[in-house]
Amino acid sequence: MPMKKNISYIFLKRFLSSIILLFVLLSLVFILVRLAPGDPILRYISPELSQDLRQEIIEQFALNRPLIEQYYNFLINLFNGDFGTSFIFRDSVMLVILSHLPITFFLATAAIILQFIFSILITFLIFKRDKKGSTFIETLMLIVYSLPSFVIAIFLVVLFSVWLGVLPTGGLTSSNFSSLSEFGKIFDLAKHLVLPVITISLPGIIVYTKYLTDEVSNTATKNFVLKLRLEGKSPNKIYWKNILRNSIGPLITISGVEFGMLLGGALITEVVFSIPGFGQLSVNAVLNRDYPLVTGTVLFSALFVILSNLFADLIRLIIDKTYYKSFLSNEKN
Amino acid sequence: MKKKILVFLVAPVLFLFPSCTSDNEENDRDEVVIAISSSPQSLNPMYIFDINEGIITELLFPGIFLYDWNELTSELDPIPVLVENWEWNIDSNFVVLKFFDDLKWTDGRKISVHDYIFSYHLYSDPSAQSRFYGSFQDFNLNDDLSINLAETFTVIDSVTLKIKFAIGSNPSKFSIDLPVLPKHVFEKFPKEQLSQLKDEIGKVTSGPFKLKEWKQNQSISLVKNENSKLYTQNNLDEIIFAVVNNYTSSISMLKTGEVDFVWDLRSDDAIDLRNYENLVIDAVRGRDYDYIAWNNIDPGKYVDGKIIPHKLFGSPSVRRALTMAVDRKIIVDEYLNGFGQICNSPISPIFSQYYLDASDSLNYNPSLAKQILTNKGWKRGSDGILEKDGIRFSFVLNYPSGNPLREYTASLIKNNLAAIGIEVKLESNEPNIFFDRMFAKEFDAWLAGWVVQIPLELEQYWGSDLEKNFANVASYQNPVIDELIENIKNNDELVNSMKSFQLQMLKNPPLTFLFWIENIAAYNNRIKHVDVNPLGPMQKAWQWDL
Repeated sequence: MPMKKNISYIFLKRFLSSIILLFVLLSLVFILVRLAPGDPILRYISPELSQDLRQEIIEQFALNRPLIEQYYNFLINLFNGDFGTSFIFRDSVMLVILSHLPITFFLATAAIILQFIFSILITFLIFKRDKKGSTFIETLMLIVYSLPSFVIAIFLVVLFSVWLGVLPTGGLTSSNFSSLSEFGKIFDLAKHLVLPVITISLPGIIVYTKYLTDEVSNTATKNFVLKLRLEGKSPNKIYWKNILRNSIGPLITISGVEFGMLLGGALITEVVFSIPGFGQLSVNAVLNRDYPLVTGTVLFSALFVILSNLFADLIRLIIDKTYYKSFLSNEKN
Repeated sequence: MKKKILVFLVAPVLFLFPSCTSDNEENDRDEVVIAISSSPQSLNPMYIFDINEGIITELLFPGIFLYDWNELTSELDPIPVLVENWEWNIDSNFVVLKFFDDLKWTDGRKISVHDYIFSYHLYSDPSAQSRFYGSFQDFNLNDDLSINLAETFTVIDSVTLKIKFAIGSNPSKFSIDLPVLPKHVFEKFPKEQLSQLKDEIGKVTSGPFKLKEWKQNQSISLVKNENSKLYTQNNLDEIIFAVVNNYTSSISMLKTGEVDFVWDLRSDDAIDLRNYENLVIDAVRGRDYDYIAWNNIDPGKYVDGKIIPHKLFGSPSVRRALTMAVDRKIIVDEYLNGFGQICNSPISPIFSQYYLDASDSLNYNPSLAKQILTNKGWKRGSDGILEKDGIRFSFVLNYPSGNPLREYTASLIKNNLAAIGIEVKLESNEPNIFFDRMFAKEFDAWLAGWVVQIPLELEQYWGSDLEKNFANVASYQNPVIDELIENIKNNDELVNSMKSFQLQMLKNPPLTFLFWIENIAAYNNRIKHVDVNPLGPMQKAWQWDL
């Protein structure tokens, strides 16, 4: 079978299995959140509010219906592309999720790009340095990696915002954002995103660097590299043209998983920097027992992971011909 | 190559840093930025359930009055906003409202009595599911609890309205003072859509501000409304409510000048912020109190509809002893750093006219507490824990997670009670689960808090009818208190009744009242005329000046 046909077949197979997986996942979430303790209409229980209102709300959200009937209605609505109405936002779940996604998508994309660039550059520095220098960089990376995200975030805020006063503490824009020029707005947004992007990228940069360093060390001992060295080619050129190209494959696969998870929301970063992203939305949905929103956010999170994995595989297949064979045999097994 | 890489790594940082705003630039702003902890989902007065939504909406859609807190009378003095005159008939079964003749919405349309009637109609309509639904007992109602408009409202002219109340009702100024909505804006939308409206609402207002911009989940900007009765030349031009979900971030932003105003501060932060010359710290006596609830009845039997006194906490003497066994002063002194005071009843010290200073009552006295328990038959068992008729004095104290003050208090209670031979097991619950179980009366003992309403509402919390008064979560039943509540409702010797109520709460405590927590606000000293009062620090935000 030709390569393109083979890949299309495999991806179609994966797509179908993903749909089944999503269906099972959503059904499980639908049932589990309803069985979990807690009350979705707790915000309507107050001595200041009438109990008649509470009853009206229960009926409106169909919470008085049997679970099986709620599940049946959920499935019918799902097939019509309707995820229901959020209890907290009193708006379509789809619209609520879409309003929180852009910033998370931007953060995740910026983080992945930075992680790629910086891990490649740091790996190059390690590759070029003597053992002492490499050990220093690796130790430094280990220290940073061992710090939880919130510690990194708070450290960055204290250093750059409180002490140096050069970057904003949180939020997405300044209070005078509306009065800024178009360029000023972009600049303002960029300024607000520096610390969140650094916080969200740092752990990934270190993991990527570790993987890449191992792969590069491995590739550097291969015969074709030794041959190129003997031919007198510059070590820099060998690194960028030959070693890196042959080492970057696993990184693409990991980045697929990482990107999906980042899209699922970097909660700590979003909370510390007051960024209204998908992570905060998901947690608030769970804490408030907003059943339709919980189901919606789970669906989107799962979709992100599945699609970004597929996408990463596709890229790797395109740039790494040797991966094609192993990929094919894995799928057939 | 290495140099190129270093330049690549450092350049973006150098590019961004010099452009950043300094503190001075932040302080040169013409607007005031207030940090709010949650993102408002609605500015429609019908659907606000969150404190921040309430604060913002009050500035946009007032009722016919705003209020001044009168320290002397402990009452709310109405400031006319939409009506120039209101006259009750002698037995309060109707009132005539005379609206100002020259009032306009921000879009230039005249404010009339029809806006008022429309608002009440909408609020009481079951299909609109407004937060006010079901709370119009003073009015003539239809079967579906909506207001019977024909029997209730008589339009005398476009600015004069007569409101007739139900026979036997007890209306007050608060019954006629719900936010007034612009009919010509709201009637354009089907009722089912009203809860989903965002920007459409807030631009046409009657309050001191109107909506300028709403960046979902980020900020809400209000600008002054020159059509408002409250408008003066000195009004603040713009006020921005910035969503800062993280408490620590809001403190950092206050220090850096990114926000100008933060409230509901923790006492240790207030003390720290006193070191910043550009900040003012202001506190007001609280309406919030924390308590340890002792379930007065057996929760297991209540599920089966039986009301049987709790085996540990059913006796008022035991509840008094438990209160005396807890060192409440140490919490006020050490955790609240003096930003609070010991609480002995649900009547807040802000009600100075009615408040009974009982600071010497039920003070920390473990020996007396032990003595009372001994007199009630509780003796030390072989394991050192008190016992009576084979029942050990051991229970689980539940509290909601994520609140450092409650975590501290719970540990203190555990240690204090252990000292007199009572075993306490602490259990923190995720807040949604906690409050669900609390309202279901499932706990034996728990740690929580209430905010006292203005005007005072007592029956919901302390009335003996457990079916009707669902906020009486400790299932307290006391006929003396019922009678006093009735007297207070009917204004019978109000001051005496209030004081007797507090005395009765000391004699037969429903629970252990712990402490009042002061509401602390911190703001940039460039803001002038801030009035932090019991109604909230932002209640008169339009009077602020820069």
